Amino acid sequence: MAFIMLLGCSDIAYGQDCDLMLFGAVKDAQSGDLLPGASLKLIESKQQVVTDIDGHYHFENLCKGVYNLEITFIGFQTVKQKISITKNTELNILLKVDPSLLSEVVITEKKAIEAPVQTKSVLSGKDLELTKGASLGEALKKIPGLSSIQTGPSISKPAIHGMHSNRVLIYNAGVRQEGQQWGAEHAPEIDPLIADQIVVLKGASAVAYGSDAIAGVILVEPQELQYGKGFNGEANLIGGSNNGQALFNVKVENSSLKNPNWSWRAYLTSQIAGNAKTPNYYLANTGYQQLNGALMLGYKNKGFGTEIYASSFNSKLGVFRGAQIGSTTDLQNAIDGLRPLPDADFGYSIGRPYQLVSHSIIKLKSFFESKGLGTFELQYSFQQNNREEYDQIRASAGKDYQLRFELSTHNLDFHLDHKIGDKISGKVGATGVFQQNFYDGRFLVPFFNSAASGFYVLEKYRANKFEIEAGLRFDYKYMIARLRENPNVSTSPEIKPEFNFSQFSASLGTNYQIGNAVLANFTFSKGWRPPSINELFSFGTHQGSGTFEIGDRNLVEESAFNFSAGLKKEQGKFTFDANAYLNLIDNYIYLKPSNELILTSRGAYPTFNYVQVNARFAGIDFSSGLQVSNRLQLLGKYSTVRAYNRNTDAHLEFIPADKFGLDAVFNFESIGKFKKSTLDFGVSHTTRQDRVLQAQDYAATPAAYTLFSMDLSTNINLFKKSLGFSLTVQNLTNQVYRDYLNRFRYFADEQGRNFIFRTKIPF
Amino acid sequence: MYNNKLKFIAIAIAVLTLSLNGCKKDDLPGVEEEELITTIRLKFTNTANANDVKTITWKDIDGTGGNAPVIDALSLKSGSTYAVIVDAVLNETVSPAADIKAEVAAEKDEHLFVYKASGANLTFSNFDKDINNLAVGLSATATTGAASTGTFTIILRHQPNGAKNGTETPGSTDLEAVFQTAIIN
Repeated sequence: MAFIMLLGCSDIAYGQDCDLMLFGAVKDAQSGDLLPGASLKLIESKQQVVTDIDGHYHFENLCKGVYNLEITFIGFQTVKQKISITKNTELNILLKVDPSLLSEVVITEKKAIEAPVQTKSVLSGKDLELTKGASLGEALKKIPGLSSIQTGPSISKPAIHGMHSNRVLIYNAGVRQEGQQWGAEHAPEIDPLIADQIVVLKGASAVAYGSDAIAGVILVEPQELQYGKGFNGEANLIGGSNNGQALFNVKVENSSLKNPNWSWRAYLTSQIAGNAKTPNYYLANTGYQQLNGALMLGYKNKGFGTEIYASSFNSKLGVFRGAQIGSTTDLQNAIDGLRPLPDADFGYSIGRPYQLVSHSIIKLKSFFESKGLGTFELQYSFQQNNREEYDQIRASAGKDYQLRFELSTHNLDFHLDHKIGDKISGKVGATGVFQQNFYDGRFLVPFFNSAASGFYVLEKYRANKFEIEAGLRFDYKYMIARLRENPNVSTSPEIKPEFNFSQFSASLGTNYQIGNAVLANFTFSKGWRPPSINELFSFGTHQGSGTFEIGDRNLVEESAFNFSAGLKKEQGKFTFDANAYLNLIDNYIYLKPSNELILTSRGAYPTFNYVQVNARFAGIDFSSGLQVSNRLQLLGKYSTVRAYNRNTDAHLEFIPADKFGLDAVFNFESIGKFKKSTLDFGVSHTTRQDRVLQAQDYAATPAAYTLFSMDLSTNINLFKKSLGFSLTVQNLTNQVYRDYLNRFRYFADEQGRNFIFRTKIPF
Repeated sequence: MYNNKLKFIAIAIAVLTLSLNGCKKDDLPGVEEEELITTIRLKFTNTANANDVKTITWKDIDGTGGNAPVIDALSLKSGSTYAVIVDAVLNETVSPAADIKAEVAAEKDEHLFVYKASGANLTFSNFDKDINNLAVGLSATATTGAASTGTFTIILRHQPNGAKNGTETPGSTDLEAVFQTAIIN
């Protein structure tokens, strides 16, 4: 128990033995998870300790007597309790989540076995509340090191440390999301409003989550089902001024007190948004509509539990009409300002080009606790992704989609969580995936069937001051595609090329406690991924991108070696979290512009080939907080990444620019019915991405920009419930700017000022 | 209670099943490149001599990629006037060939043929008009000057959603064909 802070020895003399101990664990009342870093104070003896990495605490040299114990932990309600100590006493304490106090990016050791020893950030509580209404990709930008690849204002795809698509795995309610990662304009088909917290694991997380998590993993986690808590619910109403966004979301759950073994919950989200507005003009056809729902049903009894989860995501997304180009001449004219923007006013109607995307998941999960062995968990999931793209074409009236994909995935996961003695815990598991893809309309990627399996073991050893975790995984993937030799010629013979990929993944991570408050961590991990179907087979123009993309069937696996080191301090007036990483990727697959032009009936297109090079990504993510006074807190953020082609030492393209952020957060005193009001004033600065060869891009990279934002939130107690209200203003100064990671930066400015008003009504 | 839960599961599964619908899975879908134009044919008729007819074709029969297009050269008499018509615009990768000219003719207010000459002494005027009295370019008049050589380019612009304003800039290119051109005495 190294973290005991003896602030003073007992001076309360009861005249008896003063060698008694009080010890125990502090747990989350809801999830039962151990809470490291909770602070305990014995008022009478003036002793104060912090729970260690296992959530345990320990007071020594106590005299007999009655003590007042106060337990505080960020994000939880403070507990005060009287305790009489006459002998060595064990006391376990349960803390309840304080729903209105959760704040900042709180990094917790929640689900200690589930989350590997690794750099991670959690978006939850108030921070998550203040992203409501935004897409997953936009919400995650709050975390240092995360950015998003945008295709206009309606499509946003998350990137970790400059890597995206197939290199970022997303787990949606425990199911590995198998959407279509075949284009930067394919955003994740996930409703972030089901999430109670969003966890981001940065760096290769291959062993526990799948070999292809080269850049990291995003876990979108709904709250665990609650048993025996009765009926409750929550409704959210959100409105945005810039694009007329209107969102309604409701969550209802029930677990009757009479029948506490059963529990269910339902979610529903419906939203509509119209054309977005830059400071000077509307962006034609950038509205979207969404209708999402999810159902959870669980049964839990001693040592056994089972859960069904079903969700459906449906969206219609307008694609900015001004970015539709038929040739590179159109693109050049747009860049040179010769091409007028399409006229647009505010409106909700969506015309061509647009996308209809739906994603359905059904999951069945069961666990069984065996006294001797640990907890067995078995999960089956089926998901189907359906995407239809409607292009702006001639004589479109009466015509259907121009491209459709249907991707179905069956997933079977089995693992055993076990403990060996007090110090070692771990996970052994196996996973199997079967996937099928069909398409209709224009060719982008072929039909394919694939089957993959993986086996892994991950063990953690914990001691007082440190923990160390090692993991090993083996994956095998078989794939057979079906297409015409020349996909654009109907008489070309049909071929069925087959592929086999297999490799080991490994990880080694350690956390080390320095002094009372600083935690150091170091991880090494190796991951790999097979080339994806578009990288192997693309052949044709992507509408709107003005490029002719050519895949390569001879691509081999991409292997990543990730080193990461971090230091963090979460307690006290000054807190920080610093993390540096180095990613060496062999056979990194990317789209390389070639010097050849391909002559089409629309004019000459530059060709882009999928090639493999050895790459190096290195960067730093930093965040820190300073409690200036009781009411004022300052938060700073910085992230930077550099990416090189190791073969030529040239910079890689499409890498985020350096980003700085500073927030001043005022916490107001409660006034009447207004409780826990806060005002957050933020400024962020994004530098110009100048590490790009001019020859690698059509136009110069956009200039640096500074944006101001504001969040005002309060809670009003009415009818014995705490209603939440918040107002967010994005781009407060209505700054005109363009972002390098927006694929439509050639055509139009980014969104202007936006007021977002949110109401949260618990019932 | 127990029954209710079972009912709930059944409904959840039923809803999910209904929301899944399939693609055709037995055969590969036909080759469809929407918007593809493989062929454009133009006819130049000398207004002073009905027998002086020049027909030129730009043809990329295997579509995008594959073999390079086959392109005729244009040769016109100097100091003459020709009536130009867009004779055919086809997608010949499908059978029967798709008549793109008919689609354009049906949506004149969303399309514009742009005629350009470079090097060759050749100008175009007198285009046919759409309902908004804006040029379409399915027909035109070509006037030749002194003997010269260069290129002649015809561009089909798609300008939907009210974007058409009589200039080339709005919308996107559906077709761009370049012909070697000689004006001879």
